[in-house]
Amino acid sequence: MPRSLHRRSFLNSILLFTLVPLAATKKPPLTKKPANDNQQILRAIKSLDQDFVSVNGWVLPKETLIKGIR
Amino acid sequence: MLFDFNLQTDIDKNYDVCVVGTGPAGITLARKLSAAGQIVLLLEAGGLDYSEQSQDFYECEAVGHNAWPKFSRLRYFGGTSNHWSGRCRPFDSSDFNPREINGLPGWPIRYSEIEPYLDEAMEILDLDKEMGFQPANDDLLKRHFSPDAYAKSPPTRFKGTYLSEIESSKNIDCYYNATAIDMRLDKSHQSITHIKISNYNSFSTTVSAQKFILCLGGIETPRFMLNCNNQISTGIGNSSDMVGRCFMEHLNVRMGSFLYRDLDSTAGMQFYSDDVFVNKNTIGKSNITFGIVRQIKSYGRTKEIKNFFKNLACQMEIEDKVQFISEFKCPGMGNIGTLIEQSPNLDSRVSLSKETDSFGLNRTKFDWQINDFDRKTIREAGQAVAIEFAKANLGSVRLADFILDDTKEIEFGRHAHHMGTTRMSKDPKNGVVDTNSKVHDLDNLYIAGSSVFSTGGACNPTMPILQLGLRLVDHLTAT
Repeated sequence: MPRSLHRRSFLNSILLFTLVPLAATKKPPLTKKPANDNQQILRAIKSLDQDFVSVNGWVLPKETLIKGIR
Repeated sequence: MLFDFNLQTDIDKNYDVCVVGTGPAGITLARKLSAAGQIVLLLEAGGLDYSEQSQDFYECEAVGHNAWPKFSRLRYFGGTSNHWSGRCRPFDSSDFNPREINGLPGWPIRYSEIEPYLDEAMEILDLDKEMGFQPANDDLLKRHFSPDAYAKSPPTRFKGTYLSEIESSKNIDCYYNATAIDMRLDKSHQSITHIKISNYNSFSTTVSAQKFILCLGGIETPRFMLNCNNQISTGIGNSSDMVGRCFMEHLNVRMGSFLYRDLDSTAGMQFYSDDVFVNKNTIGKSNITFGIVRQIKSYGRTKEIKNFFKNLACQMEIEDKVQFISEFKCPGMGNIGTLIEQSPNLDSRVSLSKETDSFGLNRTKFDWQINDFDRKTIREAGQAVAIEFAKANLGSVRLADFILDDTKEIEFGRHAHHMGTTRMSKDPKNGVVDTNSKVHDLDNLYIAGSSVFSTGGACNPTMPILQLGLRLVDHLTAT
């Protein structure tokens, strides 16, 4: 069996098995995140100067928040 | 000569100088005065060794922040040198620059006044003058902080090192178990004529001298002066109501924790704030130490017992359960310690409690306060060092919540550097002693010790205490 055909049939079978009833795919109703949680997150982040913030007390370069840790 | 005042109660000499207290200041002054040919009476309230009976006189009524006044000092021959750590760092010349903080002036003398006594002080503290003061680490932070340079005394225990010399001295009569309980003034209230002393058997007598020097530390010196209120109701030397005010500690703040990027090359660093950073932000100075806890270490005369229990708690992994009893870190944890300058503050003070001790003297009411200036110093130093630490790629700092939020209570550790309560000033309205450490109100009463510090810098006080004491002896023997 050619290799490409083999891959296609495998993917098809996965898709078939993973099809779920429509009802189950219904998204739960959108609930607004409690204001307290947002405030807590905001409180946990504090700008210290142009380049540094503290997150839960950890003093980090702002670029770490944007790009993640390299 | 050495006498136990519980047994030997005849003191009939007229001394040149009476030195009250046998801590580093008292012993240094007595030795140098004796070497200059002065006949000295040296008084120690406690015995030759620690006793609960003596230590109980340090019990205070504490109403402000806790500075552990009963256990951070020791009331027997050698005083608090019996448990000091030995870290020595002199003042900077900039500590003596003219300035005003909280409406109070800084030092009325310049650093050049005490600098000539540095070598002599180093010798007394068994320090290597050739080595001087060395930084423990490289200059790793780019801005605001430099490596702190200091020296470690063995540490010198003044009892062990100097007791035999005093015992064999012809010019020094040292009486222990002799508590000074009153000072008597002449009719014009210009000079001290004699001091009343008592032993533990309720026997009391008076001793006279030409000059008197109080060397009782930052809490007992003002307490004694305020208790001498038979002739002047507000106490001796207190016409400006400054005795006991401006109590300062070096702020030992648990600033936070940290992760090192490379533990081996960067563990155990100490930094000191530079003058540009301090002046620009109008804050106090700071020493900040990044240390990995290598082994359990305790402070004070009960350190063996404390070490045992702390080690046990760490080994049983129950240290978090006992933190409420005693804050400490286990080996391997990172620790940011500080020695931060506190500003002189009139509301931070030592006064008299209504409670009395067995001599009938009022105990200390101890009200240690910090103010917005001090909070700003802690905040600015903490944030700046954390940023510089990250910029230098050393790792990451996690600051304690009180650094970032002024509404949170600051957690203080202990240093036992009690300063400022009889501060030096040119104008009597701003302090208790003049530029020669003489009490403004009187002709023959002097004070030696950290209570005369106008400001405290961020250096350990023992070295400057000795420098100022040695300078005082030169003043007394020159006049």
